[in-house]
Amino acid sequence: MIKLLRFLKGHIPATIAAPLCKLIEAIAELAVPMIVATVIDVGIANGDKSYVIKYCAIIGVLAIFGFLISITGQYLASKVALGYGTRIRNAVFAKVNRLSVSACDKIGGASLVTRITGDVINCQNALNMFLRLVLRMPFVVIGAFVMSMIIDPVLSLMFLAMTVVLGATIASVLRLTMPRIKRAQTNLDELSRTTSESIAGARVIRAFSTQRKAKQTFDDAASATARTNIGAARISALLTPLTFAVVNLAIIAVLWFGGGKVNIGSLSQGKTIALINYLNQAFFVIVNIGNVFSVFTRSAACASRVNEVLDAPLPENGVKTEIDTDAPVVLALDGVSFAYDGDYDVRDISFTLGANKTLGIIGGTGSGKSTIISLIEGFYKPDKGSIEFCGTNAAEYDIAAMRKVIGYVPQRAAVIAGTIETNLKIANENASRETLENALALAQASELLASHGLDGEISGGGKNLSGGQRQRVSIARSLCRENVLYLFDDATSALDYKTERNFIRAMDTVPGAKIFVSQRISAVSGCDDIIVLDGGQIVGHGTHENLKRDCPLYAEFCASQTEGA
Amino acid sequence: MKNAAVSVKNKKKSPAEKAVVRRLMRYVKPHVGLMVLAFIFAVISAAASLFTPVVIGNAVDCIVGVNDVDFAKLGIYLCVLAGLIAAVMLTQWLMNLCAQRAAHLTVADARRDGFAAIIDAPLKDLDSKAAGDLAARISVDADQIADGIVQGATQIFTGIVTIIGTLVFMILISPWIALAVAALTPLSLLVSYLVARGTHKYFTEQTKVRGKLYDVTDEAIRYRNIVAAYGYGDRAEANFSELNENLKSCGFKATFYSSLVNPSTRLINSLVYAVVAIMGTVSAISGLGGITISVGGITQLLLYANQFARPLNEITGVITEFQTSLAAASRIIELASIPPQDDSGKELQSCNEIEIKDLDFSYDPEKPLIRDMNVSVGRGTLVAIVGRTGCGKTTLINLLMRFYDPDGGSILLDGVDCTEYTRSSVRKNFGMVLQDSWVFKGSVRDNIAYGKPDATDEEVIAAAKKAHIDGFIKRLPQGYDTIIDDGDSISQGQKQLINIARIMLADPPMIILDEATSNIDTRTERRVQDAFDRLLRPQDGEKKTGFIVAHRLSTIVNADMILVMDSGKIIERGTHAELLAKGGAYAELYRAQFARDN
Repeated sequence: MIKLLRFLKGHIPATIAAPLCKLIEAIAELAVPMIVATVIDVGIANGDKSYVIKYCAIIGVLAIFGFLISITGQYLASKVALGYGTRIRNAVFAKVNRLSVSACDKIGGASLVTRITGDVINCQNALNMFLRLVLRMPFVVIGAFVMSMIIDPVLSLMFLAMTVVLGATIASVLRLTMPRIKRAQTNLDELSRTTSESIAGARVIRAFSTQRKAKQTFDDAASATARTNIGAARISALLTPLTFAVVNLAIIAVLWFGGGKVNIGSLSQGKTIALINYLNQAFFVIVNIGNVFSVFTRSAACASRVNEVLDAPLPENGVKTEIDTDAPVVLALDGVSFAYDGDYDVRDISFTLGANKTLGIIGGTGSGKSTIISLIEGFYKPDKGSIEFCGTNAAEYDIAAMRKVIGYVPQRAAVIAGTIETNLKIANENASRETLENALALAQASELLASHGLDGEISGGGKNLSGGQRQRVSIARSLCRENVLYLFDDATSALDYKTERNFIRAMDTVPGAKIFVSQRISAVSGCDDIIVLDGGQIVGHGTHENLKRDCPLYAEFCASQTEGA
Repeated sequence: MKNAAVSVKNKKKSPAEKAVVRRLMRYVKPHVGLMVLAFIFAVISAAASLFTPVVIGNAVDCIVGVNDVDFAKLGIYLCVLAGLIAAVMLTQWLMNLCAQRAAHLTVADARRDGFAAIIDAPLKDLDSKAAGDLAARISVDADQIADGIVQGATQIFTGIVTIIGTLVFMILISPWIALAVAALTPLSLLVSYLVARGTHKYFTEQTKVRGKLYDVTDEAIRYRNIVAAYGYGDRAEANFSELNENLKSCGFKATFYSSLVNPSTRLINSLVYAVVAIMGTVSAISGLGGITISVGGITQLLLYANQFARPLNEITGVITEFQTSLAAASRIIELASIPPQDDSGKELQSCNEIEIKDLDFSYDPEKPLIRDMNVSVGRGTLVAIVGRTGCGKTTLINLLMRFYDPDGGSILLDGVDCTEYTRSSVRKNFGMVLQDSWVFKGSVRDNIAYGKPDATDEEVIAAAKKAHIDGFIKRLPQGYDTIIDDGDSISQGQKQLINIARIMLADPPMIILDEATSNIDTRTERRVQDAFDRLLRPQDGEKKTGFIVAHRLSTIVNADMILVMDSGKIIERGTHAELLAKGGAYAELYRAQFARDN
């Protein structure tokens, strides 16, 4: 948590002022019981009305003063906390963008999103609470204790005893409740999971007429949830009554022993009342400590998750920004091996790709096709071997500069919320209307253009488009700028064969080398060169005709995808 | 006081909200005994805790000065105080228990109804809704009923009792001071109302902006490969930081407003405190309006003054929360109100012939999908349906399975309109494997035996072998007892094979395969295809009627009848050979798939 404090920069005065304001408020608050004691012991005893009115008016003035200073404190604290949170969010988001894709994959997408949103908000809330309470809370408790010491050192022991017992009570109730609450949360997740599962299986459940069974499963889970919650409530419901009892027992003790002291003249009536008031003031603060404590523990965990991202090392990057776009050989892999973790996922891959040539990569699921593409695109670095791009080792390039001349289309079509135009312009901010329309035409998406228009709304994740339409928008994006190399990673899997063929034909008119990755023979058969992958290794390399004859796996692919032959 | 609280509620209550409340009452009703008990305990505990200042004040009056302490009376008062504390403790705990119990039982009932509605609803009501949203209704929203409504009710109740009780006790001590405090009440109400309203407003705004920020973040991270590949990072950052600025300004307002609750409560409390102190001490010295009070009386008044603003504040807070949770409750109640799909009719025993007659159907009345379709399918016929995405293939399956009902025309089973049979008996005659395969959390064995729970182990294994998944299952840590779920524990292809094994085991009279092998690699697909062939056309038995929807035309060349669909119409029909010879749409599709480029 301390590491994150650097984001307070520029807010230092407010960071100091906010707790001070809260401190002053607490002082004003602590003065009140003393004033009341004086009023009772002096004013009432002497029957001095003007004395009484004067001092009570001071209470009123202190109240208003306390309020004003308190809201100033709250204002400053909110300002500081929000500024702090906003800066951390920007920093984490920017950091994530600079991290390598492999580093992000390691942490996991969903986790990164939670860190940027939920975790930072938790840190921000914790800071806000800290600024407001850091001085106030201990000050009120200690102050009330000191005041009671001044009034009567012996009776103040009562005060100490109450604090300890109260703390112990709260801690043990919370400790007993926590595991039950956690269990209730697990139950809730289970309910949510069962529901999602039953919605996903709506058709299968109906097809097998197993509705009753599904309901039974859910009923059991719902009843278990209710039982856990009721069990947790049985314990947590003890908290208020127990704390109430502790503070009132302390009051009883003060009254009894105080009575004895008043009788022998070592304490006054007004001061006894003041003692009770201090007990109450401290009580209201102490019951909140548990709450504050849990906020801080949670946010400490959040802060360390945020720090993990901020401290992650940036990927190594080359400096070369000039690329020889006329190089005769665009890509050369030499003995490339790579492992996500443990065993190699691709092993000893070598091939070259000449300018304006096409390469097909075919293989089953998990054969390593996408991994090769990720290596070429620089998302991952090869563990062994080298990748040469346009005559230079790829590691020497500034990766952003290199990516500027590669048109990458991922396996899972990436469509963001916005319009077709904003989606295409991701690749080229300054693309003309003509370029965009041309790209859509090449991607066989003219129909989509006609029906939606360039400014056709696209909802998040492209939910209002079909899988094939999403893929075509994704393909069109890569065609919005001139590239030396195009990587189509199973980019046509949701297209029907006819559309796929038209697309591949259209690509002949686009300059640049191309790699087509697919499970379908039809997508690669027309390529100048074809690689057959199995278990991360090249098991066949050649033209369609050669492979059909020489590579059994390729022949099997052909056979399974054509009738009988 | 009570009226003020109620009027705040009524002002915003629309007829729809009233319906929600009525429906909610139905869930609360079975637990009304518990609620009444909770209320009784609430009254006792509030009254007892109201008495404590009285007793403390009386005790203070026993401690006047040197040699002027009445220890006998003090002892009695302190014992009474101890008794009161015990009473408050017990009743508060019991109240909480009853309220929580009622709350959670109510929630469980609402959940059950909501879930039953999901299970029994017509698919047309379900398909249009996001699964995540429905799950949230059942889990998180339902919890709101417990937090906001049932417990809120007891809190409001206790609060009202406390406020009224406080005023009554104050009146008993000194009517004038009580009057002054009562005069300050509207101010207190107003302040807490304003704070609560502002907080609610800015929190709603903050939630909205936060949601947007979440979407932008999620998108940038989900598609990080594209962001990296196209250098979109800087633009994404600019976009993010703009939204982040927005969040900063409305987040600041929300945080600041909500942090006003405590100081303003303390302000009102202190003001009431000062007024009570002045009036109390003045009446102790010379009497006020003819009433003289003791120092104990002042103590009592000050203790009451101290706890006066808190319940007021709580009530306003609870009312805002009440409205939020009413909104959440209405979401689960809306779900529970979906009428279940009718499943009446005769039981279909067996079916030999299917005839589709003048069938019309659309999801959206403005976009007719299936139009005037006529097909006759004899017993044992294998029908293949091909066509582009969105041409109506899957819709036809939906109608055959009676997931949806036709808008016009009919599907006749042996000459009888299928709507005369129960949906469940029609579905029992079909075995279905869809493109989106489904496994539930449970053992592999249970998943395969889903349609035939009493199957023996041998039967399950035989089915798995037919689906070519036996080898994979055996390699799992616990074999057939391994627990799987819809997550990432097994691949899409393996899930699909388990779905296929399910059908192999159930062995239904008719089969529907909708892209059933789309996620399986082509080599395994070929073997599964052979298994399907044996299932559909067993050597020693009668041929089964089957419907196959497929992208890969190689899987359907053996069909008895191929229907080529386009825009909801059958544009060609015939066997593979006939259609190829015809040289129409089918031939073109076929060539596209197998022809080598150039």
